[in-house]
Amino acid sequence: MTPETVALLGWSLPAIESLQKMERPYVVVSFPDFEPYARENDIPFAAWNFNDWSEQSNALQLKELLDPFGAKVAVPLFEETVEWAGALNSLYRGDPRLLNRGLLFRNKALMKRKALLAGFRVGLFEEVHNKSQVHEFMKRLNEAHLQLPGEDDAWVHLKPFSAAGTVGHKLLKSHEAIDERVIPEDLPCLVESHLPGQEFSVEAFIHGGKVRFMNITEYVKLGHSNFIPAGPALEGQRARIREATERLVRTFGIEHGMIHPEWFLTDDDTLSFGEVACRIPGGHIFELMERAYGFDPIEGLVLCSDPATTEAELDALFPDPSPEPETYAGCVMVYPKPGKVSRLEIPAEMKEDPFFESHTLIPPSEHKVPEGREGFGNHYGTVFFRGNDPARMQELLVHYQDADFFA
Amino acid sequence: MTATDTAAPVPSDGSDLPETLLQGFEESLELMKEASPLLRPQYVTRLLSQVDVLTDSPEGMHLLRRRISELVEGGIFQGGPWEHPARLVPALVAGTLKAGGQTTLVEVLSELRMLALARGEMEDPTVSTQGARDFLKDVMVNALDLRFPGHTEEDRNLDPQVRTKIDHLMTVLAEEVPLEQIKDALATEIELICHQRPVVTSRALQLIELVHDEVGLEADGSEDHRLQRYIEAALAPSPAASDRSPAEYARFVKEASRAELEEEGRLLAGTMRDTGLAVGAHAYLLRQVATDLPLLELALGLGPAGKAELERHHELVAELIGEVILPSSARSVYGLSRLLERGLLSRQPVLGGLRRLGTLEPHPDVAKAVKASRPGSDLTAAQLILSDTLCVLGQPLGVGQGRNPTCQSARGISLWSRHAPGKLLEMIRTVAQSNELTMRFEGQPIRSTQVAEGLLKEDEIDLELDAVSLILVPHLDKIYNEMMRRASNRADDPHKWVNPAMYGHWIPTGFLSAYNAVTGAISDYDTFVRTFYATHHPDFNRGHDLAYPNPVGIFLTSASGALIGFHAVSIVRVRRVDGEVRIFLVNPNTEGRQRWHADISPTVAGHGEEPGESSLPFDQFASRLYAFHFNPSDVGELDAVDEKMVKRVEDAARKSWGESYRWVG
Repeated sequence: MTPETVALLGWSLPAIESLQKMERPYVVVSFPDFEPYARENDIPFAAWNFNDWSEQSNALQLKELLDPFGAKVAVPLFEETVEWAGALNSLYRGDPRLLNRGLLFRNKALMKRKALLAGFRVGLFEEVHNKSQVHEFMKRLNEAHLQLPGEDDAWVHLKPFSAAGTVGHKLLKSHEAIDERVIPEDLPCLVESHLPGQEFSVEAFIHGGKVRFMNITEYVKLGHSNFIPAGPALEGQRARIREATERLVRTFGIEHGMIHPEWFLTDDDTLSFGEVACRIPGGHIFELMERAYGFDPIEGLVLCSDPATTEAELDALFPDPSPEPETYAGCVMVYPKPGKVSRLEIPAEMKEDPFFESHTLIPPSEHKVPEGREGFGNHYGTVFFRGNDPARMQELLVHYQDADFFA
Repeated sequence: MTATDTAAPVPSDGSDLPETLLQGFEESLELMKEASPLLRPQYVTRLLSQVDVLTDSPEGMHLLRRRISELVEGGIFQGGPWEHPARLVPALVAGTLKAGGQTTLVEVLSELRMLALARGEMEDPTVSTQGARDFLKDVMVNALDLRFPGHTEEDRNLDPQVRTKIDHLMTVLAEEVPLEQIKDALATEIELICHQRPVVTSRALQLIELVHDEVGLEADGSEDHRLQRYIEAALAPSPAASDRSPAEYARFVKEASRAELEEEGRLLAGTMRDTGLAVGAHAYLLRQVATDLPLLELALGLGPAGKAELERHHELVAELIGEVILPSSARSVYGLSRLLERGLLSRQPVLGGLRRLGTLEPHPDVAKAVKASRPGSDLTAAQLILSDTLCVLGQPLGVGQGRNPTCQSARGISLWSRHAPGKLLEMIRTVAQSNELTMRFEGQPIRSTQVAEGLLKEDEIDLELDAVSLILVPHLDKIYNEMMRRASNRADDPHKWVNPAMYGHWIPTGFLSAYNAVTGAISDYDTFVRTFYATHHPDFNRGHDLAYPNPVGIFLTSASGALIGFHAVSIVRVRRVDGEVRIFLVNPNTEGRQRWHADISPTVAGHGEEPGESSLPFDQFASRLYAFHFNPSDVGELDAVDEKMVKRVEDAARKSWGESYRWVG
């Protein structure tokens, strides 16, 4: 039986390459800008503007556009394509609720409310529409913390409703910070209390409503460094984390695909829900998984997204996580410090470290790094490490996440 | 073989390298091999980060040497400037190796590929085993300073990490190309550089010093003899100079007898005449004998014309020597001798110009630039300018552009030195004094300080220049650029108007360009070639010689024939040599041997070239030409030009640069 054609929503060269390797029929759906490049390289392509939603540009039209390619499964690669994939899969499977699930992943307030209803612990959160509401929120948190005069304000995270990962994320540590850093473009948005503790993410591959493979990614510093599999402290909690993730899958009603929830293990040993995404995770997580486990996570994503995939195919792909992993794969994403940078400087002791594997840093053409970047923006390159000792890995990532690679 | 040439045995299985690195390297290599062209660049970046680590150790370098064919097949060079080994230029390797970052890494791999080709461990249809060996030899000759570090200031400033990589590479290459094998190439290199009598002799002197310090010479090899001759000229021009330190030699000439000074004069003038090299000893000797006419004549090695000139102007010459000739300006000893041979002091504008230059107070910015270009020199900026002026006037064909994109300006300085030395001296004085130059274009003055940047970017000037070029070129470049701007959008090539305005009104009024500025095509090429033959080829122009050099434009093409750009040279004369008509030209590119095309390489010796000239067979030159000036009254019967000759030129042109253009007519 020929497998169904996969519609990849979003332009990702690694994903295209994985599909080619799998010899799986596919069509890439992305912005018209990529069309000439796709044609030049014989990539099946359908041009679509994901930002344009109207009576003339909706999932019905998109389905019509993709029918000649024989597409039967839609896989979202980026945040902006999640609801389009939900809509397409609703049509392919005749299940309108799939679209709503797609929308659920796109609204951070909605997903938190859903998680709260399911009995997860979440931080205190609120949807705000203007700056004074942000002040009010911080004030109420301060009150809840029984703040005395002169004591620090409670920390507040500000996040856009629907943006990938850390994009647009601001941590506000005082009322002054609210005045200084919150700009009209941020609003409306979500604000939430700060959860102290260890943050990590889970990549859960789901088929037929069951979790088929679950990875834990240990965040050393959010948006800067992480490694896979997680160290013994987190892996020791695997059963609990798996139980929570399965509950999340049930609550959200996810049958097929992959989810990427972020959790906190707080100091009082409580598991708290952060947020959940339904797309390829950032932070090179898929690359690190490939290194640590030896399978291609994009292949996993595609197989899990297709209801027709057999048990045998799933078993053949996913390994059993080893209780004593031999390989830990980690990376540091490098951001230049604000100011003028002109030269790349790779520390000799890093190159000589037995855990050093490779890097993708290239010398910047001389330019100025803007001051006061918000969120994390684009990093300049990544340093990859690999080794057998999670403690040493942690140490290296902590050390190099603050190193300056540019002069 | 010398001791430095023996490479220590090195384990080549990479067993001492960290496991993660080896594993990562294998994986990245595998990923790159399997990657579609779309994704390859990202794997190349990763792989290069591992190459970075590997090139830090001898074991890693050997590992890469063994695996180079896989790297090449996996596409590490694909789509980049190193892709085609046949197109690489040995003379550029040293500079690229020093560049740092990925550039250094890819260049290292490129040499390892050449090494594998030379050993027959890899094959490439475009590069033979011998071709690869010759390439590596040329690299070793050109990068001799990299093999033996510590000889230059530039080298001392090299990033230590880059230095380490180059050291490891050189060790690997030295096994294939031992010094023994490049003696011949080194001797030829030094001979040909010196034969061109460049004003700036530092490259030749540096090579000679390296050979002296690092290459073991034997008494009986013929290459050893050729090298020995230059080592003597540069380091021991007389027995007295060879035994003594510079300070001791200075004392020696002070106390020497007349007979000893005569002997020194004869010997030192001999090596200088022979090689064009003048060194510290020459300067000390000249200072000692400046006021003694017979001894000075001897020390300058003058012929009859030079002697007559010196007798007439002895007082001024003695004064100039006292003012500016010191060990760090020793090259001007040779310049001065040539200046006298040319009889230039008997021209009033030169005499007056040099006197005025002697009292010059340079503009602070000019002084700063000149001093910065000659670190370690104890001379003032004014002294450096005057001493190099002697060279530029004495050796007009020895003026070079360095590594600057300023062939037009260098060509101008050379032309003025030959035909308008008084005007050149005026320009030098003006710029030195005011850091500004004004020239007229079609009646309108152009001030260098009030026009936009030219080809030369500020602060990017290569300092391997004489002080005259160093101060003039930035201004000339801007003015030339502005003239080109004002003359653009006319119905013909702007050079038609700019060249006479820039260089002088002795440039004839006829002008032809192969390129039609209006249609953007190569049009009526037949007439273009016929006119060139009819006005320049002795068989068709009744054997007349050129009255003045002709500033012409040529196409430069890569080895594969693709157009890479335009270049400015001057035709100096046309002569029949051994039955073949050749064009003799001056190439402002410091190196007259610059390759113009795969099989078109001008020679600088062997066909009667004067020092500083290069030459090419007439038809080869014609096939590179894109614009020239001529006197319209000289054009005879165009039809008289041999059809076959025209056809040959056109075929060669169409097959190379011509492919980049549309042809009409």
